[in-house]
Amino acid sequence: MEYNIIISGIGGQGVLTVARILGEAALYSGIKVRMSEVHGLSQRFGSIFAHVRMGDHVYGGLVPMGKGNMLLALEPAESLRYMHYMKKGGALVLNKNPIEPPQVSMGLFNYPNLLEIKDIATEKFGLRVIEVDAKKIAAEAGGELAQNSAMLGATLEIPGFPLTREAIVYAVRKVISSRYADINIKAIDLGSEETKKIVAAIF
Amino acid sequence: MSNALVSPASNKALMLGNEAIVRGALESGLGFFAAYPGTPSSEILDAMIDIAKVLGIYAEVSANEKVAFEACLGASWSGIRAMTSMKHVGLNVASDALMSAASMGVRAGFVAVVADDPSMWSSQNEQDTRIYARFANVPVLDPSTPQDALNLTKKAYELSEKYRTIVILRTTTRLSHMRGGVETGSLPQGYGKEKRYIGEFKKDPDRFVSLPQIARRNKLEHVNAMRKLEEVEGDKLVEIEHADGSDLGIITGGVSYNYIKEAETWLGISGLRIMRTMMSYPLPRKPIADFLKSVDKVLVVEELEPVIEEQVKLIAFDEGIDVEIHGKDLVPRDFELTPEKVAISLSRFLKLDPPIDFELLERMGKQTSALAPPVPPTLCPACPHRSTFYAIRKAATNRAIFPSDIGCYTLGYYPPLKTVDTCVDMGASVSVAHGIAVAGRGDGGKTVVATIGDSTFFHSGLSALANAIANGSDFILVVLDNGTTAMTGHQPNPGSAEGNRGKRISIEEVAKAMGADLVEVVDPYDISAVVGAMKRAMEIKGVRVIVARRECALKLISEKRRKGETWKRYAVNAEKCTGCKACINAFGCPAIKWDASNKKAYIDPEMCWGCGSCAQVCPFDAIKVVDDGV
Repeated sequence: MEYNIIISGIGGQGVLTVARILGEAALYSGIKVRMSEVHGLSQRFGSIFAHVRMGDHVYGGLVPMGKGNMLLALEPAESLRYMHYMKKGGALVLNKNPIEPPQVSMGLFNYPNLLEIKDIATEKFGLRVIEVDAKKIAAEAGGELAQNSAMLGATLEIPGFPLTREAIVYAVRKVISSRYADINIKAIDLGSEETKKIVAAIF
Repeated sequence: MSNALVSPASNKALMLGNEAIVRGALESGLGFFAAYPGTPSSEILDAMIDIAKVLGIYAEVSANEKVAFEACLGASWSGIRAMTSMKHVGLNVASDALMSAASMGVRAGFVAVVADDPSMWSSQNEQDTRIYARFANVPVLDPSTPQDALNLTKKAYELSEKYRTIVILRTTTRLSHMRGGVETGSLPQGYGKEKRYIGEFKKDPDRFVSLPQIARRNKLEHVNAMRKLEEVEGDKLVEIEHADGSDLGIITGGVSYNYIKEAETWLGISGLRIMRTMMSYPLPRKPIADFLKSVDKVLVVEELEPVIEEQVKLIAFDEGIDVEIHGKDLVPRDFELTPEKVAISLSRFLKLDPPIDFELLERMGKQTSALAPPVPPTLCPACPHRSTFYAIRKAATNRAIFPSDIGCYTLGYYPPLKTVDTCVDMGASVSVAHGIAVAGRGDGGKTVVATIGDSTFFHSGLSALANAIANGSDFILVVLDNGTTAMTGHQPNPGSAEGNRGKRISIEEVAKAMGADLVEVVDPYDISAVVGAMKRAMEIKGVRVIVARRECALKLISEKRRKGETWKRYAVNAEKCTGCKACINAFGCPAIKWDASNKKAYIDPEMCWGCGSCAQVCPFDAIKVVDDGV
């Protein structure tokens, strides 16, 4: 088994926390895991990514180009930077809520259309797109900060994803402050629930 | 701090490469730690500071890397195991100490962790610390994984004490920030809260005073010790896979080893003879020679400079071994290696087709990425530096010249602030400003306004300021004082209000004592006050110092979030907003967005951290507090 995930988003969104949860869940499940993170300069509201790799023959922390199984995009446009790291047939789990960067506010750049992003993923890279309204789900669960947990819930529904709900919930309790754990676990379950139908249709 | 780091018994945990190094040092009986932060090394320092509160080791945030290095020497010479950590460019600062101390040696083990940053993820240059090891003639160990980092840290202490030498443990971004499962050993007896290892300096001036006649003897002793280390330890610091495999060989070290293993599977090959060397200087001579004799063709796979390759070629030449040696002719020398780069190098070496069409993928990736709006890192909402930069530009206009320095505020380079014209190395803002001011005298005198952070000021700005004042220079220095070392994770510095053991040092008093021609302290959130101070400074000549003091917004908001506290928030009154975009195009806070449908600005309430500077920037008084956060 080899399962490669890239998480992309904007500094401050919690890319590293999501990676950490996946890593702890893998360790809990007895799966060999290697991860690569970006610290320092890029964390200041810039583009940021983390790699999580699971499997017996995984050595380094970087996902080899073309060998990714899942791209977990916490921000839609940020998915565009890493699609070419995915295998054909891989999953793009996409939080549909954009964060408009300053360059767009300044009128220096246009934000791409969500439909266009999904088209590129399916047509050009052969990915299966699972769109998640993480903001809505998190609000339902009790707090907007739980968006990433809604995303994690969605990953649980993807065929071939090697981690279980139990492992993810364990990791959430380990990594996230106990004050917010319950809201996040609720968001995981709501995220799974909302995703079931989409997954059934495209896998 | 994770419990796994301080647990007395052995355990298994998910650790960063940097955390594994910390655990390795503790398992080796570390007693003294001193460092200045720098990506990608900073987590070592952060963990040590936390651990010092529970295990009773001594750990400090030093003023700079040279100071930290020398403090470790003092501890080691007093019989306490010591460690310092730094980023690659930190060793430039500490290199004076390294070069001289190398041959004087250690008493208790002393390991210097130096973290290189190939591809410059968070650095101003790319340099290979292994060359420093060769330059100083000290051993350098090069781990491949977090587990390896723990093991080699322990090995480093063993070598340091056995051969009385400083040992460099070299990591790279991809190891320091690689997370993986690590099985730890147990901690030695003797650790406990309030139970610090106490050492004693035993005088030995015939070794520790580097007068020429002593230095000559020290040098010869050190050269002999290093020769012995290489001969005795060399074969324990290499691993060979498939010793009876094909006649094609790979020599590698560090994270590159991982990529070779994956390229093997990817290309569907097996049986390659792979030699992983854990010590890249001095390269273990006999094991390398034996390996070279066992193959017809060898590829050296290493990141950055051909340090291993050149030694391999030298050994082959000296020993008269007939073998074809490849390295940087097939493996990229610039930027970090990746699994795909190494797969391409290996396929070229083996004359195989690459496993996938990388060029096509790369091209598709470039086209697709180009559609994503660029999101460079930016100063946080409510960052006091943004307000200061805005005020500096307002007072001095863009005709002024803006030398700056290393820190979050280097981001003042980006539009709309554009208040950073130069950035070289720590402290260079002050000295470059001095050079520009002197060189430009007589051309009508463009105003030179340098900016430097408080931590950088104490790190390397002090001597530059003394020099400028003593030489009668002519520029304004604005010290962006947020009371912390923000970029690397909020470590204290000598000017911080909290976090130091001893006294807080006042930047303005230092500047006054040095004889600056004007010293003022202002609050960045009061933009007209900063503009006023700038205007007063611009009316006179000489070295003028303005301290712009306000706590780091990220630090403050993180603390408030942790405590469950709230804060003020501002909003745009759509009726008053004329859509002039001054708040976006001149100030540029990431919380302020543009509503294209009604052509007005608005503030994202989730991102507003309540500084109120935008309310002062708005020419139409359209921004007001909407939630006072109580």
